[in-house]
Amino acid sequence: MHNLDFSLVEKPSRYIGGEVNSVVKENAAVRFAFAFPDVYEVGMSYVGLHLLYQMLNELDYLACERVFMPWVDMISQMEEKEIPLYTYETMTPIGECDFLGFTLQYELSFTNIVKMLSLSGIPVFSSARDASNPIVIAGGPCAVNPEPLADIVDLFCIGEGEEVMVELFELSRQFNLRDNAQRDTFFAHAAQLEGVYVPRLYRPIYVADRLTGYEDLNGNPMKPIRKRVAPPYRYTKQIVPFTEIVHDRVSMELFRGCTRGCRFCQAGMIYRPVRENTRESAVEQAKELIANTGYDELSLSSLSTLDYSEIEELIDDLLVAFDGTGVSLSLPSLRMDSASVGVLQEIQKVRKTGLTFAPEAGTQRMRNVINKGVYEENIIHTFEQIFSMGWFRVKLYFMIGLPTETDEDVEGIIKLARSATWIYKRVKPKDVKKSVEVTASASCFVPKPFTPFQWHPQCSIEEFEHKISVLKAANPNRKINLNYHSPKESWLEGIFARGDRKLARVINRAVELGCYFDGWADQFKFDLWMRAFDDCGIDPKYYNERKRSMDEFFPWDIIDTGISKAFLQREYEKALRSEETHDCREGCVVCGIGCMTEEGLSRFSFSDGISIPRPPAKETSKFELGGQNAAL
Amino acid sequence: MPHYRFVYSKVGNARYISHLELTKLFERAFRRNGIAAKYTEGFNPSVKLNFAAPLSVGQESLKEVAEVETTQDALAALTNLSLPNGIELLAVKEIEKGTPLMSRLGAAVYRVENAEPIRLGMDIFMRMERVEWQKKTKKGVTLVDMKAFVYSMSYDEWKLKAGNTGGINPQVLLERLVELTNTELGLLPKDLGYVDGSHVKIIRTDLLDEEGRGLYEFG
Repeated sequence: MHNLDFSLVEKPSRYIGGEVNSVVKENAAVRFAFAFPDVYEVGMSYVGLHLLYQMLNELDYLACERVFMPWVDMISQMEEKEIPLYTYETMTPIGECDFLGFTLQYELSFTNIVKMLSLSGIPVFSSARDASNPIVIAGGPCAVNPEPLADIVDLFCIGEGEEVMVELFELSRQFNLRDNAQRDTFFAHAAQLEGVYVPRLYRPIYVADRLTGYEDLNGNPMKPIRKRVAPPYRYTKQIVPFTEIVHDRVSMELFRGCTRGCRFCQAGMIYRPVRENTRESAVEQAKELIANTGYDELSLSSLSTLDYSEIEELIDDLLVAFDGTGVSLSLPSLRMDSASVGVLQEIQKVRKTGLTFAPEAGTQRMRNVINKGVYEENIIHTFEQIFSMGWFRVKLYFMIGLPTETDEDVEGIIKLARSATWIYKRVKPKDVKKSVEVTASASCFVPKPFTPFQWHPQCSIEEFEHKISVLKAANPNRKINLNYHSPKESWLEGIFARGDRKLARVINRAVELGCYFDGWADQFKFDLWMRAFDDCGIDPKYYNERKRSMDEFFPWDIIDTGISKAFLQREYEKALRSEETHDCREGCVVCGIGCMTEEGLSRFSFSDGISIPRPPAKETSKFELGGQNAAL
Repeated sequence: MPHYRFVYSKVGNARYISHLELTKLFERAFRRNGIAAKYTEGFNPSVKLNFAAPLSVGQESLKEVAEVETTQDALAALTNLSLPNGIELLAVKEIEKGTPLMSRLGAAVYRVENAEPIRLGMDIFMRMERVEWQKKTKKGVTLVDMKAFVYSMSYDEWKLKAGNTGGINPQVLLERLVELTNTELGLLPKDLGYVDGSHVKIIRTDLLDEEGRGLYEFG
């Protein structure tokens, strides 16, 4: 079918398809190419791909197929031989599919989206496409601010895709999408579905260069698009790659949303309300996933896994279920106030390698500003516990460039990491000779929409570089293994996170100049980006470094995530005063989602296997390690 | 502990799956099919799965041989093992634990197709007394006689030395035959008519022990 020579490229097995649990449908009324805008190894580690793939392929009229960004060497070959991007399952050129959908996981993947369109001969801008092209859709976390891609993507699905995508494809069967007039009618109907945003039907209103709102094509004020909240689909399969990928394991969602209210965290806000998988359902799902894939590792992934209401019992159930099978459990980064003795004892039975925690900030004042809810005694107790139990490797995640941060706060990161080494020496088991390995990883803070920090200016590159030098200076003898990321990439991310419609041209120009794989340090070309902004006459700092006024209309205000702007403003003001807000399981903080109201309970009530967690009992569990979070 | 020896094929795009990836693939297939393979001890336990000879990435084979040790009877499960496209389990039998496959391996047989362009090179090769070869080994490079590694050669089948005591990759032999052909014809890469060997298809068809008997069938 094509004359691509896989023996000429690195890791050829990532291009061949035919993996276990892949679904091939030669004939289907609707062909949907699910495009992950990065390489196979990254895309196949995304749980949402496996979930949607299985769910959509259950529809017998639909073929959901995959396409990824080929690596640089394969792109050269494809461009040279003029071979367009094609799907893995049936090798259909993506330009011939009915729908082409991109998942927006991080802003630096936007150039890859444009590159994938160009590689397939699909016009980049929505206005240049017609019924001979696929309908380009997009969803995922970045879709809560769709505007930077609004001139490129035809249709966004905001929120969770489980229901709206099925509704969208069902609707499409009523139209001949290869006919221009019918296609327009389809868009008009699709825009009526809850959660669907069709940018061409609306336009931004500018008054003296300031965005003041959006209107529809008849001049009426635009009604915000309400995100979809769906019952999580219970996926039981994952496609099993041949190639080693980022996460070679079963990844199972325990719950969506988060009650902690950390102020930097967008996911915790936009995925509310919290909905949990019941324990029985989770155990069954885990068994099916392992049986269908043959993986030997099960990761319990959620925004704050240890907050799952029956976490200790669940771990116990899973250890029993997988006893003697060689299957191990893994947990993502842990909160330092939830890692109870009981849980750690369970984890240790199967995993003796390192543990990861995310204190996020080095001083208590900073942690209060970001509302992390983790205290000195939690941190000390956690270190004491894990080191006395035999762990000797710990990784700590931090951010630099947080609001109100001083050099002292940055130095606090090293101080906190160093305290781990002293505690280790004090409590490690007597027979253990090896020294502790502490890694501190510091990333550059990017203010995100729908968080209290959405008004806050991002640091400049110089400010970030200064903070990195403060970190290095505080760690002169390299006692702590310090990792930090280039500020330029985070700075660019900050532009698109809070960008508007004007940025689509810049993304396109950047790709024309040679930018893509921006998330890969060795591919990132900052100078070309700056040229792209210049060529388009756009000042990037307007988007990231500018302090926004409290009454400003944001491009993403056209999206309703259920979190009220008033709540976010209250939280921002509290942050600037270093004041905390409690976990909403202890009492509703009126974020706007309304999950405890009658309307909310009926809107969010789902079938068996899903529940909204009730606030826990007030008394401290006898296993609780970190001590009660006393803030109110 | 039962030991099993099995034959599998690896064709089509599956030829691009590396040896390490293949090991993982079998591990997962065993787990999916409820086969309790035995694991090695230590920090990173791996399945006690032994192969006769790793296939280079890109090389197809109709008959590869491997052995696995399990903790319980797995004959039925192995016979019905479900594997991804391009890899198929063709035969399995229980054996007594004996000498590792890799030590017993002596030769590999390859079927060669579309080799007309290099027949000239093959004729020359067979006529030569000795064919000098800078063979890359773990210790560096040694000068050997390539002919000592070619047990038999016809226009459509090659039997080549393989195993622990040294072997030759058919692609290396093919390159040499291409070179010999073009030298004889006085052609350089940029010349019209230059033979490049890219249409020659080589597929492994058998693995033999040092006595020339089928590695699966005997021992």
